[in-house]
Amino acid sequence: MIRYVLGRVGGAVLVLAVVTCLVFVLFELLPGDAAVTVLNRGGASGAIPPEQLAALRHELGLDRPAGERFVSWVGGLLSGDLGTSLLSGRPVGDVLASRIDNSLVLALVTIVVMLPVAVVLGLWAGMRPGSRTDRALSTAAVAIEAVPTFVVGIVLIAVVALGWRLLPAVSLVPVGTSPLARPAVLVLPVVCLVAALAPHPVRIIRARTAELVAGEYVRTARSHGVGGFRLVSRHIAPTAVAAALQPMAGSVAGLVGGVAVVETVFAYPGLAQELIGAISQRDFPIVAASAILMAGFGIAVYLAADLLALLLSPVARRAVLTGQR
Amino acid sequence: MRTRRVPAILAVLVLLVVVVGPFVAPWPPGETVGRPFTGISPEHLLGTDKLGRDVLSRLLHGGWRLLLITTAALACAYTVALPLGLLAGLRRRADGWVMRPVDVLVVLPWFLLLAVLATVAGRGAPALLTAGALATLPWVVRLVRTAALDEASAGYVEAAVARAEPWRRIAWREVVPNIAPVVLADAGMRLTATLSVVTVGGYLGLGLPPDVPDWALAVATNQSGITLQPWAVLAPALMIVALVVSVNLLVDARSDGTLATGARRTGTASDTAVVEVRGLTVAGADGHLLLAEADLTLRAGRGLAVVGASGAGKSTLARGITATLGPGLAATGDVALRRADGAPGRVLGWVPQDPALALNPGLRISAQLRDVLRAHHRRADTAAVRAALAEVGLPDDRAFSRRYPHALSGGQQQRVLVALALVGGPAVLVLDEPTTGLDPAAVTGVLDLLRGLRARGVGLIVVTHALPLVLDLVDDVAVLDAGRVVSVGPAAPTTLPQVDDALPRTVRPTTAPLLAVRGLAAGYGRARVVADVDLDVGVGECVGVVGHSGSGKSTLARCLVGLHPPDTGTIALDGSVLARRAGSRSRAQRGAVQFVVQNPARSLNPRHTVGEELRAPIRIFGTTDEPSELLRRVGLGTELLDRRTDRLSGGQQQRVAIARALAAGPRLLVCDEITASLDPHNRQAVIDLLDRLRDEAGLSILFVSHDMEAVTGLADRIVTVTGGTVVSVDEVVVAGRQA
Repeated sequence: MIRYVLGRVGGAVLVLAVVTCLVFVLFELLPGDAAVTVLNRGGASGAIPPEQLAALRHELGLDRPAGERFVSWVGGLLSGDLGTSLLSGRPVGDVLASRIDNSLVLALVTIVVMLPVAVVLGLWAGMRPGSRTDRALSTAAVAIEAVPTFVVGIVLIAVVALGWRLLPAVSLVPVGTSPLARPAVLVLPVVCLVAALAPHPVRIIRARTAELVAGEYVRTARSHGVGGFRLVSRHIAPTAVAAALQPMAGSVAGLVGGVAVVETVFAYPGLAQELIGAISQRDFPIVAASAILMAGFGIAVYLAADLLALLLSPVARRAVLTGQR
Repeated sequence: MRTRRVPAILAVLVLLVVVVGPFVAPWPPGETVGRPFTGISPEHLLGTDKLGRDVLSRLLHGGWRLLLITTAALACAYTVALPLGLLAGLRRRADGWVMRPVDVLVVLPWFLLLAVLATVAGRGAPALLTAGALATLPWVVRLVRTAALDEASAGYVEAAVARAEPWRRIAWREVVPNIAPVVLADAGMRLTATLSVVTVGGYLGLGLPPDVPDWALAVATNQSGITLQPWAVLAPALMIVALVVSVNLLVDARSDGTLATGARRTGTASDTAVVEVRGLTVAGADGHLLLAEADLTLRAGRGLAVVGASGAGKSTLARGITATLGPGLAATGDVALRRADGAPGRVLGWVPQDPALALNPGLRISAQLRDVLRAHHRRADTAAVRAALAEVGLPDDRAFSRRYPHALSGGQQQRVLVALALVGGPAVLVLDEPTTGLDPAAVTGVLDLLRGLRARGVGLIVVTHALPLVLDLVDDVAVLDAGRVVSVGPAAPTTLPQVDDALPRTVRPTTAPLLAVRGLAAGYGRARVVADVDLDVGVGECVGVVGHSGSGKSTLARCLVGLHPPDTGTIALDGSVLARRAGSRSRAQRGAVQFVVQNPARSLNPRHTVGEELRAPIRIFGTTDEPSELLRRVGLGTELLDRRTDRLSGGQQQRVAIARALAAGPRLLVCDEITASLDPHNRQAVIDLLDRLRDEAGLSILFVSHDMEAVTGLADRIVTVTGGTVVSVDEVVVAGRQA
């Protein structure tokens, strides 16, 4: 078992390494030259003096061979030096660190709200397959699941903030204060993210629960008088939730894009503005560092889900031990 | 069936707007025609936007690019994913190479893909398209692979593999037509997911240039004016909602399965009866009656056996009484339960048929016992768990009670189920086939346990097809046929169903060996399923292989036909050693060993006609048999040739499967549980057919089955397999054989 876990962690690190290489290669393949981009951005359209270009290339280290640059870039990543923004000349680490705490607060609050909501709604609907509750919940989940996050956000702003005037339409957080100090600004962004990301796990948990409820061992347990909360919490929930861990991981990993969208919709002061600016200005060092952070997040979330499944399900543990996985 | 009219109409309307919209727009979409953010007016039905352009016109022009990019992304994703998924699902060796990159793509958030692509390629439609395709691709590959893996175990695919057809032909002819419905059902979900990536990309400004009319861009551009002119934002947003919600609701394949409804339960059984069943009727979801108007009475402390052919409604009766009917079944009638002594407590204890399914695989047996003890308000401590285990003759030490069900033998699982049913001191124990699937020692053990319970005054209702075994446990026997209780009478040897004395069979002299298996071992991953098996089959001989489920019988059979490569050991046909995989064997060798599988419905490709199914082996093996001649040999008419195989009955399907095997000109027919899902009539017909083929053509048969009656009726020798090894080889002594 320990060997399996170590193998999985090793595999995750390997995947991250592969993604890092891919990102470097992709940016290496770019048409044009980072130095040209920087100079053009300075407003000097037209011919660029070659000596100026050469100087900048040297300054940016672009005149060194790709292998050498890759080694120094990875070395920098490992020692916490994420490079320098082409656009502003600020260290990428500073740019990202300035607002990452606000984004993390939003993501964490969403996770804390979303996972219990998904589990409870899924179990609730699945325990009564075909009932009115189930049909209403399932149809709502199917309908909402597909709606893009920003559309949910716009509709929430139009109805809740502008129509009913209940909550702020724009999440203003003064510099230097935490969004947790004014919870009202978090409500709509979090509702929006939960609406976008919870339906899929709800549907999976619901389906698995309905399957278990109709299954032989739950029917047998019921015939022996086991019922109520104990039946749900011990005989159904662990199996149903273990089956839904992958979709739940998908939802948590989906926060990477979801948070960026929601921050844009609600003008929430997180990383999104910097990142989207960097993407449209093709500021590679910032995008590369963010890409590796995002990949690491996704890989870690899925790894955690798989390991959690082992904890929840003896059947999954056995599959690992007998090598059928 | 839910009505899908509303989403269908909505989807058509949105599509109309997208397609026809650009031609009917009242204003040019790019032109400033009024002041910015003016409200609704007769001239501008939805007002104007940030730059004073007509919102309605931009709305009508704004859908087709979105849909075009999405469709292109989907087309790219499916073009790549379909072959990859088929490759991974059908070629074991390619699986890892395909799925590892796919697994990496799955864990990468789509936003990362979009961010990197938009930076590398610049913002625009190509970046959106590629990101959408890459985000969709891994899910399609996974789906196709899972569906193809499922198909790979179907009889028709295995038959094609055993014929050594090239995998591309297998994929396109046998697999793709059958997985198409699953892939298409998922395509709707993929469409909305891809659309989501494309619209979000557009909203974040990573897609089309800002002046292009586009629903997602319109939301982003006009959001600043949402208080002044909400329609400039809401109209395009609602168009997106209408599109994705209607598509999603349309393709949602969720079935509204309902749980079973139980019979009326009353507590007014007549004085001496503990269980009184009146007019119990159970109907399936399609209205088909599984049990009709059953009446039964069980008096305190008595035993009742319920017998009848498979499908006669025995289990349904037991489940109707214990209120454990499966989903979709509806019971009517009265079940009256009453304890004779008037004491409180449960009347019924239920022991279902398959102990492996009836115990929760995720809970230790001590935990399962504790839950039931608590439910009956008993003390649920270690001592109580030990007492319950000891009562049914199981070890009561801590290590045993902490085991999970899978770590118990079938007999031990059966006893745990009895222990669970006994908690709360039921007056009657209802058991469904308590001895099926157990080895002889475990059968004796379970019967002894039941005898002890009977002696303590516990009533028994035993559903069984092995009446002689339980005859001393019961007082009465109820005989069921086709869902009706035909008779209830005292148990006496005369109530035994007439067993046909074996038909006079020709004595077959000991013959030359055809197949010789030596030291065969095989498994899945690290789990050994078959270990050290030696087996001989002579020319014209029929060898029966018996053993309970999971004993390795099927794996052994699959090794012989080259569908499961063994780890060690040799399989020799006529003295020459066969390769491990069918594909590496010579054509003559492949033809000589043919396979017929259990499930007739999965045995033949449901998209093919009988003729197509039979011509495939004829083409490969070049036998001179005509399809019509093959049908005649298995006793079917030539009018079936043009019929699709899914229109045949189970018995016909199984006979066509045998005909397909005969088309290869086999010398050995490996039959894996081929009578298991047939009704008694068809079962006998198939057994007679095999017997006849053996006599006529000198065909050797390896008959894997747990149907002892079929095996003794057909086989010359019986090989018993337990835990993957041969434990005994017995000559079948048949009346008439010695004559």
